[in-house]
Amino acid sequence: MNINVAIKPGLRIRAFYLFFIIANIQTGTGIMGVSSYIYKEAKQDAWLSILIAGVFVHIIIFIMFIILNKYENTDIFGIQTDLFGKWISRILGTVFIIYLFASLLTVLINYIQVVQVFLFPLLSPWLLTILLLLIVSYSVLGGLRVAVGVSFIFFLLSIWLVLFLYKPITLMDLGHFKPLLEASPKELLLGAKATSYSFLGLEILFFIYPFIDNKKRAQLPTQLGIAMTTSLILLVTVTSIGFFGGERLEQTIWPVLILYKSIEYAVVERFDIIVVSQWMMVITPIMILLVWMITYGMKRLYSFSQKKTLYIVLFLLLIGGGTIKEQFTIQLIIDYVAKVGFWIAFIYPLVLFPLVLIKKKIEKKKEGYN
Amino acid sequence: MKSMFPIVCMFVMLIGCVPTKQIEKLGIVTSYGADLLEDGSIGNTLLYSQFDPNIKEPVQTAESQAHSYEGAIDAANLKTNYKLVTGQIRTKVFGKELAKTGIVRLLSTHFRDASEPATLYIAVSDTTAKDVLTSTTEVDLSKFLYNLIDNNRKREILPKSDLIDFLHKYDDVGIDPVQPLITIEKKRPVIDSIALFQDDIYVDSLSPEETFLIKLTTEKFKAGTHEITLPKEPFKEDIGYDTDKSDKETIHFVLNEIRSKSKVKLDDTEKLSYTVEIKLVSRLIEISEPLIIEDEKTIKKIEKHSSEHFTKQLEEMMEKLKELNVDPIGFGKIYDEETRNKKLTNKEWRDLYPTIDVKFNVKVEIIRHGIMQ
Repeated sequence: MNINVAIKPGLRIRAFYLFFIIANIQTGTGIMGVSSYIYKEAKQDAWLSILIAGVFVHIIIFIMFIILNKYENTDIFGIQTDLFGKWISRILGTVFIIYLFASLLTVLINYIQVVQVFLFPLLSPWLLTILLLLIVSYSVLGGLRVAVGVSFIFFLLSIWLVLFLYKPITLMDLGHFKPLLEASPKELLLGAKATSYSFLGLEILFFIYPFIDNKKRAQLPTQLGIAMTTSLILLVTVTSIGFFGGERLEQTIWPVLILYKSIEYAVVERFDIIVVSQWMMVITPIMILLVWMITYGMKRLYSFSQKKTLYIVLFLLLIGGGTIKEQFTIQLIIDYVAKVGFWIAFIYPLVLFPLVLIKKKIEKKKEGYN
Repeated sequence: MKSMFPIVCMFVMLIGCVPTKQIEKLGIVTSYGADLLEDGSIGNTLLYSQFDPNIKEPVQTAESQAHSYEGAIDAANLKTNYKLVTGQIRTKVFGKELAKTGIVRLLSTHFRDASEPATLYIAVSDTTAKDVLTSTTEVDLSKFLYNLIDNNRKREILPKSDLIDFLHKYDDVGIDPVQPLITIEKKRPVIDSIALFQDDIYVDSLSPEETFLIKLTTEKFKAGTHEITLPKEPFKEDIGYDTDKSDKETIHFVLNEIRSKSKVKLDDTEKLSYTVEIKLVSRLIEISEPLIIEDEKTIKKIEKHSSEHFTKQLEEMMEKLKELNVDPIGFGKIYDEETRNKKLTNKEWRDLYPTIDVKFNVKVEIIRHGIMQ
């Protein structure tokens, strides 16, 4: 396998789109329930936990860029091959792909569950899965540029939902945040860790990097994308804590949807229904990007045809989406993905970082001797 | 052509996937009333409307017996030829006896079942909920009740009170909810006073006068109106000529466009002494006697006496609340917020509450007195 990949200019994307890709892939179904997770750990200081997590993710992105910039034009598979050799890198790459698939599955089953709870309790999960997978396959067949385009458009089409949080914000009770800074540093860090499922997705940078046209300007949009995610999580968490307070927040599975439930207009009486339908636009780009990552990874690792991988992935997803129904099973898979994802997305770059530096130094020395 | 295939597939498959609900076949529940029956189960009264063009009376009632809210709807479905749906429910009325045993069990479904609305009003009936919901057939009672509460809330007569507020105050330790109390007058439901809850258990009610005081301490007035009664004695010299022949001892003022701010401060965490600072800015629009307001002195006098009047009333109300052990103002919440590393429990606060010491500091300011001197 080549360490560096050559991408034709016609297949490249502008760095500017990284903002939408990052902001979109991170803000999935996780944000619907993240506030109660953080609250369980850090109580009323949850907002501080999010800020800590946000800063940490910014640093990781920074490190990822340093790693990637050491190479000419490569992705995670190229780096792994360079560092560990052919066989270990294949094992690591396969683990990465399995993790991506699991994370893809959680997005799908979680959304289906939300639709069944809020919109159509009697709707068959098979049907919803098929409908979603049709859109996904259609876009993935179009290649990365279509996937990126979808995430750009759908981001703009769904971000307006945030504006309607103003109503629950007016119903907030600021007393719920007092006393300030009661949580111990350990609780704050645990709270920061609880955000990890919502921050997952930044590993796409390791895949998409070779496709970026103007690499020198890639850092800023990516960091802004992270800032966007952080502020969204911060906004919904602060609103949820102010609105629910204490125990009810801990018991609520999707606090964000309950927040939208308190909005009532003469024309639209149940705003949460609009939100759940609109949420399809939030999760489709995520699914498209994840499926693309898997197919691209399989091609790089095993030179497997992207179309074949796509159909296998869709088939497995169909079975997963149609059969996994119990609330507890779904929660279990999500918790598991969050745990594994924490190590793969946040800790793994930190492990790679010194290795890449050492390797490059050795190479330089060798060149010097020659 | 190839790309059209998924699209065509989607259209074909989208047809007929979701169970249909024909509006002509639905009975849309708009009000719900619950009463405690002798055997411990709950007697339910439902008001529902239909969109059937052939029907003469659009609003009908159904009754049932069950142990839960969703169960009540299900049981009532046996007595009607429509499919009862609850997405449009606006008001839940609870009979006094039931309210005395706690009502939150009939409300929690609004946060558990996603298809239930979260924006609705709660009221306690002075007698039974059935009496309220069957008091008249002349008007659409559901609309009447909803507008009765909504309108009075907007006019700043009732304090904040709806399901979200109720559950919020029920969940928080150290604050108790208040909700309107409804009684029947001339076959129409009217708001009589405010029901005080201890957690979710109805304890007692407050008069409209005291309702104003609760609102004054817990919320901000933006444009309220209030009538106050002061003794006539201090104002004798300012009254121009005596028109009122009856020898009354009191003089009445109406304050309008009241804007108020209140702040509850915990002065001492050990002794639990609080100070409540209230500032009330308003306009004088009516006086029952021909009081001549020539200089600032008269206005100052009114301000001073009404401040004292409010302070006295607030202190009396506070005594009553302490005796009942209900805390609608939320002193416990402030105590919990000020003390670190200790979570206040409900039981602890119920023990502490009667021992708290509250000082009221009311400042009334009259900025205008109409277009007359």
